[in-house]
Amino acid sequence: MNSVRNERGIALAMAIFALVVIGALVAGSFFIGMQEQRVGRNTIAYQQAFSAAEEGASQQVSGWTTGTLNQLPVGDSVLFAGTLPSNGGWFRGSTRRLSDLNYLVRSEGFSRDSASRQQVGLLVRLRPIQFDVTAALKTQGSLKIGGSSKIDGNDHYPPGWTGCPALKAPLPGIQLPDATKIQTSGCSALSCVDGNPKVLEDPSITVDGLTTFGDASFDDLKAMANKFVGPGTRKVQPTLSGTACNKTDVNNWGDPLNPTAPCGDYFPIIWVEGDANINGIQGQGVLIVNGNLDVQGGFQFFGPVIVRQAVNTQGTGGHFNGGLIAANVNFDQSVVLGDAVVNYSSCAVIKALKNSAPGALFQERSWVNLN
Amino acid sequence: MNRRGFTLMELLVGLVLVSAVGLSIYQLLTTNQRLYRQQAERVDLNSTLRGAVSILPSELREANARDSMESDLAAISSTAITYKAMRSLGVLCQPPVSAAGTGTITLWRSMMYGMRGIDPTRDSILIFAERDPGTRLDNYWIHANVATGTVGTTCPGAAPSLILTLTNVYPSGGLAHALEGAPIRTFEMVQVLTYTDGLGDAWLGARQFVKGSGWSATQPVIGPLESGGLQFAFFDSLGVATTTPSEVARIGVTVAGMTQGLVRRGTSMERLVDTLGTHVALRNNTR
Repeated sequence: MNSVRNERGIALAMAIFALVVIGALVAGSFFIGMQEQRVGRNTIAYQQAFSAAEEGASQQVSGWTTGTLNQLPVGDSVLFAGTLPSNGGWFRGSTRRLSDLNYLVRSEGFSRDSASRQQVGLLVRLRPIQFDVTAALKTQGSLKIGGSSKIDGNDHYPPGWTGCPALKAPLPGIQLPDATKIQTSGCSALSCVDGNPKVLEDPSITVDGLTTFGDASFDDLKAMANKFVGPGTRKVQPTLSGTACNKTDVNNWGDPLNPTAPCGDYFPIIWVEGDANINGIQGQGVLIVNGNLDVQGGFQFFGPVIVRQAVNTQGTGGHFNGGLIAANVNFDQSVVLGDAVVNYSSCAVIKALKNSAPGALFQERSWVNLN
Repeated sequence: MNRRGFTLMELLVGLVLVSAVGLSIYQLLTTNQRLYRQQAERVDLNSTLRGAVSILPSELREANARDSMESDLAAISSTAITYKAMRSLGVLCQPPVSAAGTGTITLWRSMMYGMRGIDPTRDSILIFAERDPGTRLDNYWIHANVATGTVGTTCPGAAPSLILTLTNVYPSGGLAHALEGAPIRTFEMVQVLTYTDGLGDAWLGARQFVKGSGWSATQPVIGPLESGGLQFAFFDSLGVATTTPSEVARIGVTVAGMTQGLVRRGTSMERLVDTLGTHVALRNNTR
């Protein structure tokens, strides 16, 4: 027993020492590896948060909701939130109206684990179509008017609309390059035309002038449109989805006759590709027809109407409240007969242009790092 | 009987064995220490490079080289860049009061955003101007010097305000086009260049322009870098290299960093070197 007890050595001490040394080495390597991993993870989190903030801001501009944002009082905000695909981070923010035309979109982005936060901003300006109404009806081709139709350059308030600016000075009823191109039928001495003057002869009218709107060409208008309609006959009227305005319906162009109804504040920019034949009932916004426009059934429209070729309204025809341009690039005859009415309405034009204007980034310095 | 001891032979064998084991452990330790130091230096170097290529883009991407009044890139070269570094965003709460070349603007204090407050000793200002509300093509940004800044409650509803007096307004009558609700940006002039420390090491350095006293002393920001390890390249919107500030649409930044300490590589001791590059598109260029 004694001999066993006395068999001393250093194996245990050596083993412990070796374990400590090896442990220290492993811990050192582990520490360096962890540091690199942390840095890498932080970089990923930063990028996720930044991408999320960017996505949140750009989504607000690309999906500009005219119905909500264009009617936001100055100083008020609308909140938004969302997530990136594949759970790649999330964002929240607000779109604040700074002035009549300017907005600030502020977007906070977070990494998937919410450990990293980035904040960016976008300066956005409304881009209304620059539609200078200089007459109730402006055309460069020939024009046939008469019947019980009425073309009136005096400013009118749309019935039931509130918040309209003061009436403006009367405009010409008709503006065209050559007054001899007007044919009348039951409208002797232009009795169916009113305005100051009734007819303004303007030789400077050209196709380019009628199809360019400020900084937007006729083709640019297509990019600004938010409702695309094919050719053919259609009945236009407001529709609901539950209790909300059904903006996806191509035949829903707002509800101008019931301004407080769900579609009363819906002012789309409507692009019709080809000839349009509209048979009732009502619409508002900006109507752009890349072809001829044929109107029947007492259709009522509130806002500017731009037709690339000719307008034809007869029988219980159209009632246009705003301003009507028939660019008439093919020099077909525009016809305004029957019960057709073309009224100048500055209120309808202003409301339609402001409420339909899409948001566009500032021309310069639109992007802001808000961190 | 119980008085045992070691024979000389046992002692010698024991000493040889202990020495062999000790030597092995020592070699293991020194090798590992070398590797550890090398890895630590490598991690530092990577951090230096990452830091350098993340600091610069975050500032440069906000620049507008094509501003029709004055480019945000004041001077560019392959080794240095002088630019307007954006510092804050604000909003006018009422129309400016303007005189020839001077004026006063009032900002919502609740709508100030950015990395720091306004510092009249260093900051200048850009104010969004709207000539014809019917089009956005004639919008521009007024340039002015911030002379003084005071706080008050002069925004609508007696809300907290920040009142700035401006000088050197350009264009002179520009404030007439600045409307209530117009955004403003403040900026300071910054120069990024190579800084050399007392040991002769190069660093990525920066300095700010202080009104009245000129450029501040260059401060090291990140490093060390190789000699000539900070390089800029400038490209226009077509991707062609340019030396004209107002044509710049993209900036290439290349940073060659090196370790602070010496690291054994083979039989020699030297500093590890690595290079990282990035390109920054100027997001705010006039479109």
